[in-house]
This record gives sequence, C-alpha cells and structure tokens, in this order.
Amino acid sequence: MLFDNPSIHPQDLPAVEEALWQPLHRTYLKRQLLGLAIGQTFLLIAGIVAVSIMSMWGKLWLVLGGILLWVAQTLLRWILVRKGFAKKAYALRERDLLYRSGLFWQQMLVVPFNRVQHCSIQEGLLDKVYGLASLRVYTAGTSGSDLVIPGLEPHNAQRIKDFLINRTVQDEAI
Amino acid sequence: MKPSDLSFHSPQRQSPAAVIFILITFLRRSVRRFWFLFLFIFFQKGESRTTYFLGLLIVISVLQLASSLIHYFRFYFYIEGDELILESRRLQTTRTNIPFDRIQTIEFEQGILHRFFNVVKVQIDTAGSEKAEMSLDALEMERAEALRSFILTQKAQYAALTGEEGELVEEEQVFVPTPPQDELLLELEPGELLRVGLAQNHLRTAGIIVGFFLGLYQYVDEFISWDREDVTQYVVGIEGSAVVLTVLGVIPLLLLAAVVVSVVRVVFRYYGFKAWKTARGLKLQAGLLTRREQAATRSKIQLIRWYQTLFELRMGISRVRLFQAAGNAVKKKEALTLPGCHDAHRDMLNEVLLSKEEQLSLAAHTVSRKIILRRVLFRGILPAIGLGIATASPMGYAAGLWILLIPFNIWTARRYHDRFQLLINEYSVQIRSGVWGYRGVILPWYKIQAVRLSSSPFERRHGLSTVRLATAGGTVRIPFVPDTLAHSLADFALYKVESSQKAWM
Repeated sequence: MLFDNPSIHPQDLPAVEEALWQPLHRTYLKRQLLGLAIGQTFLLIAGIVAVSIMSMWGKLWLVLGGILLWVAQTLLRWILVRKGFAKKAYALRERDLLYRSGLFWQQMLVVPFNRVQHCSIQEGLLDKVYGLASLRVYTAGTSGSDLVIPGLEPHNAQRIKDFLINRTVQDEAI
Repeated sequence: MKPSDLSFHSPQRQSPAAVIFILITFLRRSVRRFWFLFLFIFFQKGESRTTYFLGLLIVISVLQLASSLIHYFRFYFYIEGDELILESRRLQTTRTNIPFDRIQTIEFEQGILHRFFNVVKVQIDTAGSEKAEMSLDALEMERAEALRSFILTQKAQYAALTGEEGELVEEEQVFVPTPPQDELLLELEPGELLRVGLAQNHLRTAGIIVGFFLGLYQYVDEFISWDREDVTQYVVGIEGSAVVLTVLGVIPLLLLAAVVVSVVRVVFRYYGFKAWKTARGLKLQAGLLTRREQAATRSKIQLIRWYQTLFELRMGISRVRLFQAAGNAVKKKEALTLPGCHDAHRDMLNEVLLSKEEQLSLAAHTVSRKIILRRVLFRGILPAIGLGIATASPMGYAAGLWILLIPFNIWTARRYHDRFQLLINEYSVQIRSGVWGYRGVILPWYKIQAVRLSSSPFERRHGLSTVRLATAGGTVRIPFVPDTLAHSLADFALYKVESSQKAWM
C-alpha cells in the first residue's frame, strides 16, 4: 500500500476543551492590577490638569460627576481584571499550543507546532518588576493569528519556547 | 535575438529605455517631496523669487536626469551559480543576491510607455525575506522572457535535484521537462467584458461616488471657505418634502453614473484578459493602459474566494479571487482576480488548483437561526434609529421612513440564513452565502495556520460559537455555529493540519 488512510470518527478526535489547562502565574494578576493603578492615576492627573486649564473648579457638579465616573470606572476595571485573570489559561499538547482568555467575549486560539514560524520572549517594564515574561508565537497567518501567553515565569517561557522549537525542527525533519 | 543567444552570466545593463522609467520614478519621488515648493512658486507674486525658484527647479531636474543616467549606467544584473545578482556600482557598491529557491514569482508589467518601447518591468517577488520585492525597470521582452524561463528552469532543476526529502537524488533520475506550452483557460472577448462591467454591484459604486464627492467637498471647503451663510440659507430654505424630491431626482442620475463608472473600471482593468494554465499554476494578463501579467504557483495560493452579484448570478458568471501567501502580511494586490468565469471555467480552475479529493462532494451544515436576530439588530434597528435621528431636522416626519429598514432587514436576514451553507469534506471546507448574489470560499484544511474559537455573551446564551480559520492568505470566519459543531470543526481542522505532511507553501 502506498499510504494508508483510515476513516476517522469526529468523536474519536482529541477535543480542545479536554486539554490540560494551566493557569497563568499568580503574580501576573498583581502585575495587571499595578498596570491598572498606573493607568488610572494618569487618567486622574490628566483630568485635574484639564479642569485646571479650563479653570472649571467652580463648577462643582461637573467636578463631582467626573470624580464619580472615575471611581466607577476604576472599580469596574478592577473587577474585570480580577475575574478575567481566572479565565486566562494555556495548554500544551503534543502537537499544538492553546491559549484562552476573555470574560464576556471568550476566545481560544490554537496554533499547531508544524505551523509555527518563530517565537520570542518579551519582558516589559512591569513584567520585570514582578519577574514575569510573555511568550509570543508567530504564524504565517494574517493578523490575529499570533499567539501570546503573558504571565509566565521567564524560565518557564524559555522551556516552552525550547520545546516548541524542538518540535518544529522535528516536524520539518519528517 | 534568439533566446539561445542570451546568456546572463556576464553583468549586463537594462534596456536603454530604462533611463526614462528611472527618471519618472525620481521625478515622482521628488514631486512628492517638494510639492510645497511648487505651491510656493504658484502663489508667490514677487518676480525675483519666481525666477529664483524656477532656477532651483531647473537645477533639480538636471541633477535628477544626471542621477538617472548614472543609475542606469552603473546598474548591472547577472546570474552567478544559482543566484540572481543585482549590482549597483555608484559611490558605494551594493550587491543584492537572490537565491533562485527564494524566488516565488516573476511578474511582468507593461504600461503604455513600456509598450511603446517594447519593454517590460520585471518584478521579482521573494517571500519571507526582508526586502520582499525587487524589480528591473525596463527589459526588452525577449530578454525578460529568457531570464524568467532560465531562472524558473534552474529552480525546478534544483528542486528536482534535492528531491522532496531534501536528499540528493541520483543524477540519472533527474528529469527536467521542457516547460510545456501554456494552456489557455479563459479569455474575455470585448462583449463579454461589457457584460461583466454591467453586472457589477452598482449600488456599491454609487456609494463610492458619493463618498468621493463628499470627500472632495470637504477638501474644497477647507481650502476655499465659501460664503457659508449663503449655503446654509439655501439649504434651510428648502422644505423637507422638497429635499426628498430632490434626492429622488438625483438617484437615477447617480445610478447611471455608477453604471458608467463600473463599466469603465472593468474595461480599464480587464481589457484583453487572458488566463493560462502553466506548469506551476496560473498566469494572468490584463489591462487597457497598464498591462499587468501575474503568475501564481499552485502551492502559494491559500484561499480561493468567488463572488457573484445578483446580475452575475443571472448571467451565470462569477469573479474568482485567489489569495496568495505573501510574507507575514497579505497584500490586497497579491490577490489574483479572474472576472467573468462560467461554471465550466470554475471547474477548470478547481482542477488546476485543487487535488481531486478537495473537490469531492461535501456534507452541508448551516448556521443557527439566531444570526437573523443579530443581523436585524445591527443592519436594521440600530441604523434605522441612527439615520432617523441624524436626518430628523432636514426631513422632518419623513425621517420616520427609515423604520422601513427593519422589515426589509428581517427579510434579507432570513434570506441570508436560509442560503448560508457550510460544506465540509475530508479535504476542504467551503462556505457560500449571500442575500442577493453569492460569495464563497474554498479552503483546503492543510492550508490553515491557526484556529480560533470565540463566543460573545449572546452566542454563549444560545450555545453558539464563532470559528476563525486563519491562513496565510486571509482568515475565514464562520459565525453562529452550534457549540458541538464548532468544536468538532476545530478538532478536525487541527487533526488535518497536524497530521498533514504536505507543505502549505
């Protein structure tokens, strides 16, 4: 026989939702909350500067409304970040890498190893504070098909990257 | 000059006509850089300054001509081993080596000027490299043809030598066929071309025309400030019903203009359209003023999309677009368009581009009826409210007519759902949909790069998901699929990709 091609039942295929999901590192939540705090502080300062320039401190209702809006937004984003963190997870299977995220708009991206172009490890400023790194896996697909896993310990990110590259080379050798 | 006399091993220059094209490129670049100088001269009243700038202009032009000449005389190309080398020996020498196995396509482009001199612009596309495109400004037709066939033959020989496994195959087994005569697949006669032009989506063209004039109005408005009061008085002076009447009067005129524009556009772009089947894939040629020749290798094509407007559906023709992989980003211009394809042509194309199995019969699925709700909300209810509010002041009570958008959209959304088809077999996935005409896509499983599953709160409440299949030639989105089907689609796609030994490019 030149090649064999057995029939496949869709039920027999490995299901993505049954993958072994790994949560992100706990400190990534702290890193995100710090990022949020910094962002909201800048917003507050910008608001104060704007009100000062337009000299509208006299309009009490406007100032109070602005502050209330800012507090509500901060609280909402705080809750979203905390709840959203639990939804973020990655999974490594024998032939592909998965990442899922999203509280309301949930999504899951799967990149097969034999379609990986290259990968990189990124450490942002805030990441460095908490000793974290993110892994970025590039494919040849159009925008939105690159997979990014944030909140990994650097040595872990490096391990996954090495594994990926190893698998990719193996695939090409076949 | 016979092709056999042509050897590319010694450094050689382009056609002398290249000077003109180099000059044009330089001029265009400097106009883009110095256009404000021209404006300056134009608006400057002082005599002395005008002459000063004119002098400057002449100096610039002379310098440009000189640099074009230098560029021409000091630019060489030649072949060394299995590399094409472009060498520019000016103040500093730059050598660009292009290995044959990196070359994806070699395309010719011929504008009117090119045709006058019987030369072509040669564009060499190398996928994945830093500088993705290199070109020779002008080369005689015979020399360009000879260069292309030489490189492609060498490339094929190299590929045959190394074999699929990357091992060196024995010398005797190497068989390099002389390229067979290209087989003409499709040719558009002028009459057929006119029909294609008439069958375009004229409403969309009308939209483009309106957008163009609105943009122009804004532009003019910024530069020449009208007597605003006059205009406002004029507009306010017209009663609501009069506005409606004026609009109704303008619409037929606009549609007529749209038809003319569509036809002219199609004629300019696709005049003398021809498509050939070549040894490696397809070759297209078309264009009235600028004749473009495009070639695509079978393996580089990632997605086949086809489109039919209502008129095209009636005439039994469709436009087929082939999306190729192009480095990390897909450029729109990389897509090959074949207008006026009959069903027989489509079958022929599929035969050229797909394997037998990929054309097998397919199991049909459909999307959830809930998609009707979403379409009515986003295309009916929300626009009706928005347009109603926006036009309330000039149209008065007539603005209430926008409410008619809702029943219209209920009808179109139902039709969209009823006609939506998701077709799946072992080798490919196909989608066809459309309210008036049809649009479709054919995607062999192994071309997929990544799979994305997502769900909005609305979708989740109804047990639905959206599946996105990303390829190097664009992403195929399948919305509102029942969860079980979405997951088995994703699992199957991954299984096909991960078990595939076929190179996606």
